[in-house]
Amino acid sequence: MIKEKEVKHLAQLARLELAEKDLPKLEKDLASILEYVGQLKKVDASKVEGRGKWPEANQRPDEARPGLSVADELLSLAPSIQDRYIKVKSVFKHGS
Amino acid sequence: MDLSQLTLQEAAQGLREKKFRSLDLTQSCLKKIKEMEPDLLAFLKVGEKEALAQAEAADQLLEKGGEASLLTGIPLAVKDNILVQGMSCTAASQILKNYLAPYDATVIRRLKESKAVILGKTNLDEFAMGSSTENSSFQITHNPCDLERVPGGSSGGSAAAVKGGEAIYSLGSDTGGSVRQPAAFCGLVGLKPTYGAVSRFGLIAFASSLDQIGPLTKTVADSRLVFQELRGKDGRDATTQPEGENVSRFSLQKLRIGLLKDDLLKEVDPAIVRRIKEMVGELEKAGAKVEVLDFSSLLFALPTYYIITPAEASANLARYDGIKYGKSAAASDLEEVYRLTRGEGFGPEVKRRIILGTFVLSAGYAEAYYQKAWKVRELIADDFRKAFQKVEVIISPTTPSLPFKIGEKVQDPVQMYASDLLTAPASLAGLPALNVPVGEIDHLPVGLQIMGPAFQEELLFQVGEEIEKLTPSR
Repeated sequence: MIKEKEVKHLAQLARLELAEKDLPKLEKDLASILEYVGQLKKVDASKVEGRGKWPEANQRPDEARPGLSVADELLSLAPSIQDRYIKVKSVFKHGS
Repeated sequence: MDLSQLTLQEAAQGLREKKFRSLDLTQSCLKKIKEMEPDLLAFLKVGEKEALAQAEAADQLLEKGGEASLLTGIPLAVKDNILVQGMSCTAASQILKNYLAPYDATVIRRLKESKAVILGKTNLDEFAMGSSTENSSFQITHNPCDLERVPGGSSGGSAAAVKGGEAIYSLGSDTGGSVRQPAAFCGLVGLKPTYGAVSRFGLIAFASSLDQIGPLTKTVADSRLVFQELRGKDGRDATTQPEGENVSRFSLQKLRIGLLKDDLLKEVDPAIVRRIKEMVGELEKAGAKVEVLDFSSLLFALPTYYIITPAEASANLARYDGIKYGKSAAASDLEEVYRLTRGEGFGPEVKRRIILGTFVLSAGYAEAYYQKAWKVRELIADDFRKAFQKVEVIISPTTPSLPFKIGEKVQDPVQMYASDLLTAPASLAGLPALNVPVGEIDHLPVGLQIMGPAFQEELLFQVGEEIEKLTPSR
């Protein structure tokens, strides 16, 4: 139902490193979960039109208001900073 | 007198009558923590110094009278996915092992305004994903009713702390049963409020369209006290609604109770079903009318839940990338930072759900799984709406089984997921639901669940208090 190649592809999409040794159990678990949730195929939901009757999030007027003043605390949580910037590895590889 | 055994109401009364101080109450809980923690492992962090300072501040307020609320000076424990400024907040994950909360969750801000005393942070299944607290990456919490058994989950630490006398009450979070099921397993009252009743600001997100913070308490009256303090509109959570009147016209003689059809209960331990039916029988004797509901969409609540929640989790957990906060793995390029940080930082259940969520949202499968699940969620919500035209409340067991042994289900995710069978429906429909203990079977606690219409928590409390009266005392 879901093959190792597919699990690896999903892990790549989710930016999630998986150990080779964990793949067989994960594959097996996912197969049984998907079989279980696959029951939904039996439900006739053809009359449901999208998401109905759910309360919309409350809108507020678009005006400035004070936020949390915790910029320093937030910065201090970052693994790597330079001055007041969060430092990341380069997005593009050198030479590309 | 062992103050740690008091209910919230009794403790609040004692403080007002100056029978003892918040400092005495807090010290009595801290003593209990020292005594019980080697067996229970309910706490990930105890803030003894902070708690004692908060108790002294509460005593000063109580001395002056005036602004004190019923929660003033009462020690509580907080699930470790709710932010308390300056304290660690780990979600029981290695990825947040060294994370210090930079601000207070709205519920914590409200409790601090009342001068409540925060004892510490309790264990949970990593990112609240689980039903036994065995998915914590730090420790396994034991059920105070039977140390070989799980306390339920994911708010297992919060449940064990209250049952063990380590806190007068606690806060948990409930996405598909994570307050109600541990409350049932530990013989406590647990409330999952209506979606939008309590602010989620400062709660580490798992599945945002279902998550709610709720109290675990020794009595229904205590649950009401905490809920009243937590609920209400918050500018920092746009889904919160203003406090309604929330007054019910309760009369046991006129109460109409809905029961689930037997085919919905066939996966449930027959002894639990019998106990629930006995309790409903007692309410019937007192004049309530009982109606069995034709509610077939509920058969599909659990598979619906296990599509929608991993989908939302896979999106919510994308923020743990090794850049802004939390663990960051040594790596040579940006993508490797993401992959390795997440690979090293997340445990097996979280990985399983991220992969599953990514799958049900991926092109080619989203329609068959995710979109379909939302449609079935609509059917379930609609069936609830119809049911509540006929009855005021729906009563069911809270859990399909009695507390199970540590290690019994942890290897088989589908079996573990079945724990949410009867709690997932109200979560999917955004409705309030309350667990009330109804005695023991084989010396293990049994929980009864009351579900009601949106924002009718008060009705649940009143029915819960009737059930409490029928049940041998705690």
